Amino acid sequence: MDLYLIRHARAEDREIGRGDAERALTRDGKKRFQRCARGLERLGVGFDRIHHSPLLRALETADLLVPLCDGETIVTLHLARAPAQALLDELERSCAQLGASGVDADAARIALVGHEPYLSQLCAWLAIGWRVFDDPEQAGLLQLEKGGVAHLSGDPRPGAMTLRSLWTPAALREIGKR
Amino acid sequence: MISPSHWLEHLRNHLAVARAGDDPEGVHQLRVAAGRLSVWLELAGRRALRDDLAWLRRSASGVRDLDVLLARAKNECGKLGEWRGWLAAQRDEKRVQLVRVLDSPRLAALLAALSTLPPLAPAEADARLACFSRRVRRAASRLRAGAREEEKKHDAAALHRARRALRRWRYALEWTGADASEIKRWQEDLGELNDRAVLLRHLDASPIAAQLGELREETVRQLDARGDALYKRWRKHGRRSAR
Repeated sequence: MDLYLIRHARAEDREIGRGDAERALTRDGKKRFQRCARGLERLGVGFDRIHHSPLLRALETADLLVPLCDGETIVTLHLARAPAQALLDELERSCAQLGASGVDADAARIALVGHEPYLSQLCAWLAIGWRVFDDPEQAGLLQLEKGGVAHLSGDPRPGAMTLRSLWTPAALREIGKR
Repeated sequence: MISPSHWLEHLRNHLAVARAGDDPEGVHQLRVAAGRLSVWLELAGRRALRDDLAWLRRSASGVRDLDVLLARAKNECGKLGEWRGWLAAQRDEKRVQLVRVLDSPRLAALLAALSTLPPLAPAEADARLACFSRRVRRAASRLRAGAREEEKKHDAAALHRARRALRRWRYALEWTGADASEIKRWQEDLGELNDRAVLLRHLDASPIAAQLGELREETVRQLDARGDALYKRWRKHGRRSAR
C-alpha cells in the first residue's frame, strides 16, 4: 500500500477558554495548504481513502484533500494519540475493505491526516521497526512541518514500509505553482 | 449563527435508547439526527465526517426498516405470522451489527469531531441552499422517467435517491429557518411509497415468498396506484415547490 502521512495545516493559536481540539485552520493556513494539495495533485498523488484525527484542524485539512480522494473519509481517534497497534489494525482493515470494493489492496493509497509528534513517530516505527521516539534524545530526528507529507510504501507493519519521499509544504507549494 | 449542538445532543441522547433496543424511536431518532447533522455539514461546505454519518445512518437503517415492518405486521398469524417471525430474526441480526457500530471507536471519534465544529454563518448556509433543490428536481425527473418504463416501475434506487434528496432539502431549509412544511408533505408521501417498496423487497427476500403472493400483489397494486397519483401531483404542483 501507499501511505501518506500528512500533518495538518497551520491552525489558530491556543487560547484560554477554547479547547485544543477546537482550533481551526487559519485563513492563510487554508490557502497555503490548498496550494500544497495542488502540488500533490501535480505529483500524481491521489487517495482511495482518508483517515483523519477528530481534532478540528485535522478534519479541516482532510476537507482540503477531498478533491484528491476517490473514496471515503474516516475519522479515527488513533490519529490523535501516540501510534499504537490499534492504528495499524485499522489500516489493515481499511486495506481489506478497499480490496473487497475492487481496489487492488496492494496498491491501495491511504492518507492519514494527524499531528506531531505522532506522525513522525509512526513514520519511524513503520520504516525502521522500533519506537525510536520513545527515547527523548531521539525526538526531533524527523519532524513533519505543518502541511508536510511523508510517503511510505509496503505493508503497514513495524519495519515493513519504505520511506519514499518527504515533502515540505514549501516544496509542495512550489510544485503546485508550476 | 447556526450551531449543530442541538442535534448533536439529540444524537447523543438517543444512542443509549438505540443501544438498549426497547424503544424503536431510539434508532429512528439516531437516523434523523445523523441526517440533519450531515446536511449541516454540507451547508457549512464541509465534506469530512459526512461519510462517517452516512455509515452510522446506514447501520441504523436496516434495523429501522424492519422495526416499521414488524410494527405493521404485529397482529399477523398463519403464513404472515411465519413471515413476521422471519422479519424479527432479520431485525435481531441487524441489531447485533448496529450495537457493534454504537460501541465502536469510530463512533466515539465521530462524536468527538462533531463537538469541535464552530457555528455556521446564516449567509454561508443560504448560499448553498440552491444545490439541495437542484438535486430534488434531478431526482424527481429520473423517478418520473423510470416510472414510464414498466421494468423500472419499482426502481427502489431511484425512489431512494428522490427521498434522500427531498429529506436533505427539507433539513437544509429547516437549518436556515425557512418554511419546509410543503417539502415535509412531499417527503411523507414519498415515505409511504417507500414503505411499500421496502415491504415488497422483504416479501421477495423471504424464504416463504411463494406463499405470500396475495400480499405481494396487493403491495404492487398500492405501489402503482400511489406512485401514479404522486407523479401526477408532482407534475402539477411539485416543480413549483422545488424552485
